[in-house]
Amino acid sequence: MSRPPEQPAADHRGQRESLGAYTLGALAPAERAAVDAHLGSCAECREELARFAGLPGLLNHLSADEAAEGVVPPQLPLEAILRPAAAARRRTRRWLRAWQAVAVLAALALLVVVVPWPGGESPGQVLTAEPADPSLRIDASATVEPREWGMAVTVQADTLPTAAGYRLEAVAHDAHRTPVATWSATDPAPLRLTGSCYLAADELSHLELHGVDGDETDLLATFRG
Amino acid sequence: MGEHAAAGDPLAGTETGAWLRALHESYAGPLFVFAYRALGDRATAEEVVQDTVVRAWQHADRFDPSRASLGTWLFAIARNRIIDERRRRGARPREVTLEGAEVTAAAPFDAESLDRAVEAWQVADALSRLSADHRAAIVECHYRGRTVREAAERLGVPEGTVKSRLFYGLRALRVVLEEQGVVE
Repeated sequence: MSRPPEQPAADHRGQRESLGAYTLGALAPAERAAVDAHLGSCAECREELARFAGLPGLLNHLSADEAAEGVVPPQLPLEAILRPAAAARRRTRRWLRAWQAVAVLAALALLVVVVPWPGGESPGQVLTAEPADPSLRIDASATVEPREWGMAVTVQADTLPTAAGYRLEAVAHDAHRTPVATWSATDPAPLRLTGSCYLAADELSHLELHGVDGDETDLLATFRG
Repeated sequence: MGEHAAAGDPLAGTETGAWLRALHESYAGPLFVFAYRALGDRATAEEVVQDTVVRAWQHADRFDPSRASLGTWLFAIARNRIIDERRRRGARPREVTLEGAEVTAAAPFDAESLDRAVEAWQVADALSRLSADHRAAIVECHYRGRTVREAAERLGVPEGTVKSRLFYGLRALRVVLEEQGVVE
């Protein structure tokens, strides 16, 4: 095949952009012939085409409907399980293996258990919030009530520093930590909610309240008795 | 148990969270594809993935790397969960008919189905990272077997635009697959 001395730039560009359709076999016969002719004289396009060569085979790993609908879930909601599961596992001693099932349930439960606890039962232990930084205005307390499966923690907050969201964690005497509750900012601030965790009340050292903004978290306060 | 740790317990001396995270990153996608293909609905497939990870965590001491790879073990857990799900559904009329026959066909489990699920996931994941325009052009021309002209008509754009989207779409796809290590 004779090689044109100069490749018109516009033609090269047009033919090159046809290489995707060429690879997928979607060109009309005349267009296909034009690309073939161009390929004979353009090493750059031959190289580009070679790089596309394996793609149709890979695409065939999916059915047409799967490709059209996407078999990628919007977001696998596992992240929510990982942290509590990991915490529970760390804490679990071998002789406490039976605890694992309980811990999983607790971990799953705390995803949804941010509901008011029926008041008027045992008074529980009251912890008051100490700001992590003296400049932070915080007026909040937490009531910890032992339960058979761990403890219920009721937070009463009248003033909290501004944050998009909040996360309350329980910290054990051995520094092990586990989530208790997460919630979004409310307006006005007064708020009462109950979270839970599998930590036994007598294992609790203190609670930590973190402000969450995107990936950033800030320690806002610790709750101690 | 001691022998198990010696055999390479993935949890021994490691951060459980890191292990679960790695497990999630490596297998949640393929497990989802596997479950979705077997059950035909997203919500249940997601449940199966969650349950599989939780069960794996609960029974990590039963994992024996000398008998099966982590992937095979996880897929076996998922398969059992899928069988339960089908049994449960068998008692009732089908809720979902997303892909007709494909969905109702049994999902046999072997090493190959694991590989297929992983491959399918890689492509699905790569496609999901393309722009909607690029993806639509590839779906029309590759998966639906349409010509550029037909695709242009269906998408309501000039033929040149379809060509351009196919070209840049395939290029982007290639880059993603390279990043995934699927192609070199």
